[in-house]
Parts: sequence; C-alpha cells; structure tokens
Amino acid sequence: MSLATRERIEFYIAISPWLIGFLWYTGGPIIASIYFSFTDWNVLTPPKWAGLSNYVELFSVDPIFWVSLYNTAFYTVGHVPLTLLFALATAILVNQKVKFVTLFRTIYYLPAVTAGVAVSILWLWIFNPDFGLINYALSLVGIQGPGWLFSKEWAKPALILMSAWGFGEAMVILLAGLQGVPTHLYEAAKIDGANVWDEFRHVTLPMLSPVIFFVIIVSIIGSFQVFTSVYVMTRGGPADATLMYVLQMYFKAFSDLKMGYTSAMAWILFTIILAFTLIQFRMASRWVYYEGDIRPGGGR
Amino acid sequence: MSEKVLSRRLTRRSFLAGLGAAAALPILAACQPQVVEKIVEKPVEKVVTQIVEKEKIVEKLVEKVVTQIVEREKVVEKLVTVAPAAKAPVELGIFHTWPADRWLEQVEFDKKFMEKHPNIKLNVTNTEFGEYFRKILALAGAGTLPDIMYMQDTRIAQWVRQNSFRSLADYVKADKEFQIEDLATEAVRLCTFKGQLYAIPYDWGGPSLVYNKTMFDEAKLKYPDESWTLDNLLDAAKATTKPGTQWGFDYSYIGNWAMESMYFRPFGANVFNEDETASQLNTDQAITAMTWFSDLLLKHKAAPTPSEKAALQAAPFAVGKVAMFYAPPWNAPTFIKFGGDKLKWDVAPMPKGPKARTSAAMGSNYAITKDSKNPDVAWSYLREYFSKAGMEFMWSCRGTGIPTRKSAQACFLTAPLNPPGAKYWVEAVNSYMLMGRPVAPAADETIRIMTREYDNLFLGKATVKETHEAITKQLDPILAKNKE
Repeated sequence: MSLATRERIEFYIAISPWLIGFLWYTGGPIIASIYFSFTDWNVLTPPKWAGLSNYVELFSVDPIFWVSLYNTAFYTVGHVPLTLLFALATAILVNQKVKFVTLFRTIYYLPAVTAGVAVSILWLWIFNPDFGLINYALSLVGIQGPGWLFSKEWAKPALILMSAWGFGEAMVILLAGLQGVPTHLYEAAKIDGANVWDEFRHVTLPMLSPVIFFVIIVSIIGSFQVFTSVYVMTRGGPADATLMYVLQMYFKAFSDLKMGYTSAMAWILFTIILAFTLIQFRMASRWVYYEGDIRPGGGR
Repeated sequence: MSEKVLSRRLTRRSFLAGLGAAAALPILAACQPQVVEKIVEKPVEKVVTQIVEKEKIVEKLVEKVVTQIVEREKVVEKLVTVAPAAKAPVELGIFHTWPADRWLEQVEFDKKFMEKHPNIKLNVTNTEFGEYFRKILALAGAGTLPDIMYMQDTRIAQWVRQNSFRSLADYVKADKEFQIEDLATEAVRLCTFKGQLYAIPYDWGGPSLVYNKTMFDEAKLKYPDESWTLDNLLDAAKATTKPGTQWGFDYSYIGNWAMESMYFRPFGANVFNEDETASQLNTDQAITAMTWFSDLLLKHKAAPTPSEKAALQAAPFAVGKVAMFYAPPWNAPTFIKFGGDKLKWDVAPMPKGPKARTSAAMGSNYAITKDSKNPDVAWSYLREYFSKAGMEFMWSCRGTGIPTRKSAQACFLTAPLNPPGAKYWVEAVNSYMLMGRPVAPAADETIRIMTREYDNLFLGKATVKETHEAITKQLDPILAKNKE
C-alpha cells in the first residue's frame, strides 16, 4: 500500500465518526424532511402523501404565515445593521493599544456567551414599562417610555435592541479583521495627508469588507432563525406582533401536530435564506475587496 | 485481493458516491410503503377461575384468547397468555409531568405499589410540563411510547382520534371494584370517544371566586357569598381599586378552556356551538358578555394591565395586589408560596350572571398506550392509582386539587392548604361547573387565535365586536375540520 493510499484511508477513517453522525442526525433528517413536506403527518400515525397541498396552504390560505414572515424580515432589517454598527464601532475602539484593553474585549464579548434564556429573562425586566431600567432612564429626562414588550408597535423594536446586545461575536471577528489590515497602508495614507476619517473610509472599510460581508451573511442567516428570545419573552405576543417564523413552525409542529406542514415551512425558510445569500454574493463584487484583487479598469 | 482493493484509489468521486448512497438509506427507509393492516379485535372469552377457600375468594386469571381478523382474507389466531400479576416479572413504563414539589408523593406511591407487587418494576419518567409534549411526540414518532402516560385535557381529543390509546371499556366493565360511576360524569365524558373510554381522569375542577379578605375589610365590604351577582362583583372591584397600587379584579384563562363558562355562559352566550365546529362569538349575548368583562379594565380601570401584571413577581392575587380572581384549586400552593401569612384569602361561589351561575371544570388524565405490551398490568397500576385511597394520597388530602372520584373528595376539604371556603370548589364541581372548551383536536390552534385577538382587545386596539369578528373569521375554517 502506498503512503498516499494509506494517508487517504486514515483521513476517511478519521473523519468518519463526524460524517456518520452528520448523516445520521443531520443530513439524513434534512433529506427526509423534503419527503415529509409533501405529506400530512402528525407523528402519531404514518405520513400520508399530500402532494403540494402544504405549500399551497402556506402561500394562499394561512395568513399567519405572512405575518410571521413579515415579523422576521422586520427583525432582520433592524438586527443586522444595528449589530454590525455596534460591533464595528466597538472593534475599532478595542483595537487601540490602551491599558486594560483585554479586559474590555472580554466584557464586550461576554453577552455573546451568556445563555439565551437567562439573557431573555434579564431583558424582560429591563423592558418592563413600569420599573424597567430603560423607562426609568427615559423618565429622568422627562420622556415617558413606551410599553415595549406589551405594545404591538414597540415589541419588535424591543427585541431588536435586545439582540444588538449580543454584538460581541461579530466584534471579535471584526477585530481579527482589523488586526489583519497591513499597517503600511495606513502609513501610505498618512503620507498622502489622510485624516482619521479618510483612513477609515479608504483603508479600513475596504480592507475589512470581506469580514463585514461574512458578518452580514451570518447575521442574516441567524436572524431569520430567531427563536429563544421570542419564546421566552413574548411567545409571539402581544397579538402576534412578535410571532417569528421559527416560533410559528414550533407551534405548528408541537401544538398542532402538523409535522408535514412544518417541514414545508422549513424548506421555504431555507429557500429564502439561500436566495438572500446568493443575492449578497452577487452584490459582493461591487463592494467587497480582497487583497490583491484586480478589477477591470485597473483600479478598485 | 485485499491489497488490490486497497490499492485502488479512493477518489473524491467514489467517496461522494458512497456518501450519496449512505444518505439515500434514510430516504429509502422513510419511503417504505406502509402495509396498512386493519386489525379487528374480537375478544372471545375471558375465563376467570374463582376458587373459594374458606370463604376467601381468590381470583385467578387463566388465559385470554383473542382472535385477530386481518383484512385481505388473512386470519391469524393468536393465543395470548396473560400472566397473573403476582407471578411473571414485568417492567411498566410510565410518563408523568409533575412539578418538583409533587414528585416525592409519586415516588412514595410507586414504592408502595412495587412493594405490593414485587414482580412489577415501574420505570418512571417525570418531565417538566413545558417539555413533556415535545418529548412524548418524539417517542411517538419512534414508536416507543411508555405503557402509561399523562395526557392533558385540551390535547386528549387529538391523541384519541389518532388511535394512540387503548380502550379501557373492557377493563372498567370487568372490574367491579373500580366503580366508574364514582368518577365525575363530565370528566369521564372528556375521555370518551365514540362510546369508548380511552383514559381515566384523575382530577376535575375549575375556577371559583377567590377574594382577598384584607382588601375587603379595608373597603368595609361584606365577603362574597351565594347571593352575589356580577353587579356585586363590579361594585366590589371598583371599591377595592386604588389606581397603580391595587386592583379589584384580575382576569384568568382569557382565550383558554375556562373562558366560555366563566365569562360567556353567565350571560347565556357560548363561544362554540355544541360540537365545536363553529364559533358563536358574533351573537349579541357574546358581545354583551365580553363587553361587560373587558370594561372592568378598559372602562372602570379595576383590573391591572398586562404590563402592570408583568411588574409583579407572581400572579397579582398571590402577592396581595388584587381583591378578586377566578382561581382553581391548584392555584392554592401558589397563593401560599407567594402570599405567605400576609395573604388572607378565601373561596366563594362564582357570582351569578344575568342568565346563570357557571364555571368550567377541566382535568388531566392517564391513558394506556395502544402499543403497550402489558396492558393488563398497566390496568392493575391504574386501578390502584385511581382508587379512593390512591386519589386521596396523591391528590385530595394534599389539597392541590379535587379528585374525580367523588368518594375521595371529602379529604380535600380538610387539607391544610385549603381555606374554609374550599367547599365551594367541590360544590361547584358537583353542580354548576361544565366541561371547559375547546377540547376538540384543533384546541391549541383555537386557543392561540383567541389569545391573540383578545390581546388586541385588552390593549385597547380593537372593540369587542371587531375582536369577535376577527376570531370568527379565523376560527370557523379551523373548527370546521373538527367534523372530520
């Protein structure tokens, strides 16, 4: 047996535990769910073939499907830019060589590793209209705070604000990206007379664009699947104002026993996320710059 | 040979082919055509030998012959031997969903049962309520349901119609000691489908009026009694309200199973028609009923808003912030836990509405699963669990609920948890309490729709008429499926 063959075999043996686990617990069920999405299945009895009826019902009969999709899209449009903004601003701040910067980095990252349920319960209290911290702070400047999670209009913004608190993960990724920007570019910019804002705009942002691109993709994928915070804090209320797509899937699956219907919802969600991702990749060529990238026209 | 095989290059293409083959296995397994056999069970005879020894009757089960007739002209005769409970070792799987403070009682009961039946080993699992149905569904999908399982009132119709439980009619009929007639009729009705009993209800109760004696004393009001009407409730609610600090009334079960009997039936209205296939919320009586109750908050400000309630550690009544509440017996531990000695409370009959005095009763149940391999032994457990002694031990003497067995209810009245007025809970169960609804298969979806729309009402975003129209529009297509 040649060395190459042996190494190849050892490689496949080494990855086989993960591969078998993936196929058995993830890949297989994912593929099985394609089949179930075309069935009427309540788990208690065998699935019955239903053709496209689940998909037809979703798009044409079920108004809550559109409500949950709208709520999720609203949440995504708010969550992604806000989180990115906080993460980028903080990453730039903690990229400075100052005392205790490591401590600051740790503090800002901590919320990202705190259990989702604990965070949700904490924010339930912070958002309380009567004694929560936010409305108390607003009252100090003479503003009467809204009902937050008890208001149809403010419940989603409340969740978006809460979600931005977990910017630490994106911050760490952007920080790594910032530290990868070659210093000679800043030196060259300084020589050319660039100020701080010019450096940020013409050096930092372009060099960081691949990382920002990654953060945006991952954030969109994550925000479309928001569940824990809404399940703990609002259960979709008040009046379905915070009924997110995955929460609706949960109700349909475990309360209404419509596993086939829920599988169809899962594949629609997959398609939407895939579409968004492909659109992002398509648009990336206009604003994402990779080091050494040569664009038509010779410049950037 | 092996050398030759191994020396062939394992290319990416061949690896991906293998991967695809492995991925196809679950699909093939899932796509297996299901052979549906309809088994018609026809019990032939059950022979019970009675041996009389010195005036002591020893019952000895011998054999049970069951002829199974399978369609497609295939007849299989199967001899089923039922081992007497006293001899063959058996493991019985039971799934509960008790809260932590009730679990020890269950452990004690099971210990005593196993001491009495040394051949029976109980394999017991307790799951927190919020997780229970996810877990049990996963087991159902895997075909590994336990022998006996807890089933909630609003979900039992779903499971029974999917043929998940075994009919208990033969056991109940053959077991004269069980005395099914001693169980609350409405509770048994909930577990009955097409004339067959599929579960045994263990508790049966519902909300009655509870009141804060201190707040009544401060407002110099007489305590509620049998003569009370809803007008008395309104007057007391207004008199005991101090805006922002305490309120006269708090809502319970909005959108839920007790709502119809608590808020609508006193006005002669219904939420559903008789078989839950259509809603009846657009009638004048229904609109009048909900207008009356919602005005407690929206007009008289005598009830806390949802945000005011969220500011409190527990239910407002439990922390002494509300003068009156519609509460069931199982709320008593919460009142004691959060109210402690400061909360002086008692129970009164439900106030009479313009048309009737009503409330709703509901109960939880246990069933033997259809695929249980030890149904006879499972029944031997259930008959003891739901005996008078079993119900007194597990339920009534603790004071946490009213057992369905009427002969076991007396102990509830003297339980340390309960105030003197606890008798009104028992009286209500045995007189004016009606089975709560919805209970049909679409119950959970119905409750979600109603809860959502009533959120709009109590936020002041919709009138009662608009709310009921919205509910009816969404609910009727779903309720129509209950005909199936």
